[in-house]
Amino acid sequence: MSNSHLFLKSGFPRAPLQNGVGRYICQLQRITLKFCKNNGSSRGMREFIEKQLIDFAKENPGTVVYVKPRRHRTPVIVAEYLNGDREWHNCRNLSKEEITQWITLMKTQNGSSSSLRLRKMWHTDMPSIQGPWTPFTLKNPASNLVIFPNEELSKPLDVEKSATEKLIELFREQRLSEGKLEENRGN
Amino acid sequence: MSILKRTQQWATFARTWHIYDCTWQNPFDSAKVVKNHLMGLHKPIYHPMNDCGDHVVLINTGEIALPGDEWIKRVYFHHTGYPGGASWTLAWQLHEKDPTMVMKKAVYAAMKGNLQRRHTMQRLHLFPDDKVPEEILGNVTSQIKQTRVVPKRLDHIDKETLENFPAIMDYPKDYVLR
Amino acid sequence: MSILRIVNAFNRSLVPHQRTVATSAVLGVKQIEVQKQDDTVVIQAVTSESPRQALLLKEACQPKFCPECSLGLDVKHTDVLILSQYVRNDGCMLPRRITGLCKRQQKKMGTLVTMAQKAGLMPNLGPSSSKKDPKQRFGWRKYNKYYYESSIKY
Repeated sequence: MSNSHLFLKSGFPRAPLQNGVGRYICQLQRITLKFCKNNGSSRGMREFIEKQLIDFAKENPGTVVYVKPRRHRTPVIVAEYLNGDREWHNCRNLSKEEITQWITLMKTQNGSSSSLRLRKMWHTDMPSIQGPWTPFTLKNPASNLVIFPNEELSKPLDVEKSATEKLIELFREQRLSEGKLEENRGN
Repeated sequence: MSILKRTQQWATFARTWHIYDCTWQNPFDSAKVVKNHLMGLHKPIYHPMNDCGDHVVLINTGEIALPGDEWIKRVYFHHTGYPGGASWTLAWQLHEKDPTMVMKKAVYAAMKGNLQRRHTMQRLHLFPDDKVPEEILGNVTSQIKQTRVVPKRLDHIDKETLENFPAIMDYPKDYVLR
Repeated sequence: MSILRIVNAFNRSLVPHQRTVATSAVLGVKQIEVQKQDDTVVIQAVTSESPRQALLLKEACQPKFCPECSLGLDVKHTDVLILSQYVRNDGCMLPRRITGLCKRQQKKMGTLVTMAQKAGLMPNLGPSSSKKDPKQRFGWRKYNKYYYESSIKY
């Protein structure tokens, strides 16, 4: 019933301040790459720093890149966002392609992906084009002038013709045909 | 909420008052229709936590029709909680005591047995005959269609139809009409 | 008219064990008409025409007619106007030789008439001593009832 006991917050995918509608601002504020200069687990990270980091930094002038060599520690990426979120990711034994993928993900995110449970995978500012439903949308406006209870409105729909009604109709047709016969005879 | 959104919310969640005539209707079939309106299941905005149910006014609950010999066979069980407090009341006996009870129990049984049921039943208004207080009748804006056709009594049929109704059998010439 | 009388008398003679005891004339109800023509007064006994003659359906004139088989009508216990034509003034059903229905249909009509009477839809077609208003019946009988036609057993 309630979700106050749950630690994982839930929400909907939102773009802060209509990001992208007009100008797009990268939400990644700073990215910190920690690695070891010697250890084999940081090999991918070292390759990434040697080959692709400078291009990355040039492409994203709004993001500050920090490189921290730390001895005897696993390679780590820490991303900090404009809304204050902080995402820490372990890159031990990852190849440079995988590190590139993770960094691209962090660049395109709004905040930390693991901190919010998305209730719906979509969001729209205009959920209804014809206008939201009201009890009066599909109502016949003639019902404004009706005095309740009304007999006509109370009758059920989709009622088969009763045997009595069918008989009356048959008789009417018979009378009509008899009348026509008499007319023809008169003429 | 802005003023525009507030009015939109007010319009979408407006509570309608419906009226339903129970003359010659089966209470259990009518209860199925009535409970949908009471719970708000007839609305596209329905959600159990939404509180979107409407009010329903049931008139002529004393005129309900049960099939066959259900008036004598259908029983309502009640236990006071004390030993020896079990009682089985026949439908016609209950109807004599209180003409609205059969319909009320039918609607209660048709609804889902959750904690919202008692609250939703408070939005149901039952009257044994046509007399409805003016305050309630003034709120009514919609009528729910009946499930069964109301039969016509032979002495209530208008004279014209009676006289012009075709005969499907003629007496033999030597038959004496007593 | 006279031919019918002879035929009826002939039939009666063929079945001698049947005895029809009647205090008044059984063969047709005749009305006495008094007419004055110039000097003479003519007193005639004329058989009254059946009140239903004018409203008779063409198909109903056939010897074997029944609403379900000939016209394909599904008669329910609420079709009181049709059922009341097979019922006498005091609420009793007419016999098969008068209604002209087959055995199955006669039984079905009988059951439908019972249903209609129990439901209180034909209160004026009952014995003179009965209550004409179904609401004044005792106990559970005063409440509305309806029946399912599928429950009829032929």
